[in-house]
Amino acid sequence: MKAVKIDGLTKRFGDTIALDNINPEIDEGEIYGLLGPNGAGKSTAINIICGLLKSDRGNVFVLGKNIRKEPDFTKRNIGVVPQDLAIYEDLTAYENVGFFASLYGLKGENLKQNIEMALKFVGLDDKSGEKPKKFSSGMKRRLNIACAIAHRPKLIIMDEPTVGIDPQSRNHILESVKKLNKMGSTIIYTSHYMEEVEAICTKIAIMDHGKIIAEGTKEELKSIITNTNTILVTVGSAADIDENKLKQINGVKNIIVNENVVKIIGMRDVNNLDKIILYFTGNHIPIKNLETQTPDLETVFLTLTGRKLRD
Amino acid sequence: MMRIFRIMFKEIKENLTDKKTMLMMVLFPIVLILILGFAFSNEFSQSYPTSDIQLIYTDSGSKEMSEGFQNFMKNCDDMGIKIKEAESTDKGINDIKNAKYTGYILVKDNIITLYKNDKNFIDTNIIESLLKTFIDRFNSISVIARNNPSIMGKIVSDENYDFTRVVSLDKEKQPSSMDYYSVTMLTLIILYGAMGGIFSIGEERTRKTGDRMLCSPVKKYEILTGKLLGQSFSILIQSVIVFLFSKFILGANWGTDLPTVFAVVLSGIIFSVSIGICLGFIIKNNNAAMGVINSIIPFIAFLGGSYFPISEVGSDVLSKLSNISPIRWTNNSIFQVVFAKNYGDVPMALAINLTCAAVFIAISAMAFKKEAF
Repeated sequence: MKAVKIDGLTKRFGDTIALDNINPEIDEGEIYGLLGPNGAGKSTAINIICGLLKSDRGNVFVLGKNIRKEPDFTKRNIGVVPQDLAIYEDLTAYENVGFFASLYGLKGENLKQNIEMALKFVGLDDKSGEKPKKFSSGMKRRLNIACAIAHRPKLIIMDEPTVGIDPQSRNHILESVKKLNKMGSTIIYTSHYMEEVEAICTKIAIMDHGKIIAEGTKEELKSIITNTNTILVTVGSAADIDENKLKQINGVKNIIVNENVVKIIGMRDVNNLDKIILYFTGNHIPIKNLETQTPDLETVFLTLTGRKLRD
Repeated sequence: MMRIFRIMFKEIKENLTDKKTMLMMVLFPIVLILILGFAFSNEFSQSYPTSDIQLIYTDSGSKEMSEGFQNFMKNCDDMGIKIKEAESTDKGINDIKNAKYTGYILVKDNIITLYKNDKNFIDTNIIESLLKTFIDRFNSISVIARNNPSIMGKIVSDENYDFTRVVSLDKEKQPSSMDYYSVTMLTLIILYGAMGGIFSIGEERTRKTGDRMLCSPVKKYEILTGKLLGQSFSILIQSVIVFLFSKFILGANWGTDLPTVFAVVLSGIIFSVSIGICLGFIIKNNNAAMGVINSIIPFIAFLGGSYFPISEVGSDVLSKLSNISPIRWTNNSIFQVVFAKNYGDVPMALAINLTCAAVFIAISAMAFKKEAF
């Protein structure tokens, strides 16, 4: 049985097609990544699966049940970590988790045990009596997760759970996702950070403009772009770099500048390294490091769409 | 059902932990009671002028009844109550409806019917008390006449029977300024409880906790009911604190029938919370919704006599306009129960509050059905 099966899902907002006939299938036990830039349709898809939005066309099946026909069953088995924090600042961490867990039918000793389990899992068991208004943003994000997992859902949907937090908390969250998966939950993980998706997802769908443009394991996706290679140039300062001039070099397909690292994606069979180096030296841009990189998902996205993930 | 209670308890907990708002909702009315109660203490004087009471009558009673009624009218005149004959029964009833007179007494055979105008409940209370005493005496005489006619002479010859000695105005039953403002400030702060309803919906939207709730198996009607009950209970707690303070510290008179008074208060709470919840759903912006409620409340509070009795203004237009204010019915019914033991306005107050609440809840349910928070 598939954890999630989506048939021809379509959603419009006025003239904008937010989802255009998508048909992903997610096996039980997977960590399924939805990768795409802002506005790709990831959150719309998630909101429809959760029951917050109604689709215009298509069906969604969670654990074999249609979410429209059996909303109680499907909702009981889904836990949602929303992109925005959804916690009560004036209730303690314990009360927050307890309230949301109780809405899933948990009560008595069972409720108490599940609250403690959830708080311990996210590392907030020693803060259970405190209110989130005193927490750091990372701790709030962890509480956000605890509220979603206390009722032990079979499907956990995490919508960009690491936005705006420190690296330590991010790593903690990524480790938690893997642990939850090992404990038996299927996870849908949306993000526009390809390194997160690459690190934890067993299967990835790349979305853009409401469509799934590629789907598969990270190796399968990277094999789409076997005809490209990537050169990483670390420079002293990227302020003087003219991307258009660099693109004019024969064989260069795309440029991504991230702080002082210039990623040059080019055709594998065109030897242009000398011309690339000449550009930097000729424009008095000191090169601190130069290396070739194996293709990553950002490169895949760029190749497929011509745009950056974080545009 | 359990989910409704969970949501209700969550609402109560959130409200009680918001110490700033809790304090404001309790201190605000107490301070106003003190300020207005002392400032207007002379306006609620202990001696009551009866010269403003005007009665009309039609006497088609039996000979014995008419004789007794003449004596009654003479006593009214002695008290300063103006009494004159109505042109006709229909005109008399119409004049009462138009608030031209305090009451119209129709004496027909041996039946006395009083048509009253409740513009001033104290005036009508006086008339009713006088009339009741007259009727009791008349009935007593009739019984004696049937059973022991021989002593009738001594009783009937007492043509100057003075009803005013029987009905002494119980000065303790007139509201002092503290009594008046204890009631009106309590009902005013209940009205401001609508803000709690607005925030209850708006904050779920802003914090996205509403969406998280909707991702669970909880139904929308459970959320709506839980919020209504939770907010209502929170305001009830605040009301009880204000009530206890006014009764035991300020010595305000709340009468002896507290269950009826609190039934009316509770209906007012449900009314105000339902307005707030309705506005919270319809107007997506909290500040805009607050602006609407802050512009409505002073108007209906003024018409409801929250700041001073509307009848004292002496304007028929305002008196008629005050009928559109739900709080007017709430205040009046409480005053009547406390000071006149008159339950006439209680059903109307309950009906208005609960019907309006039902309408607002229905609108909220329709707005909620269409979309998430």
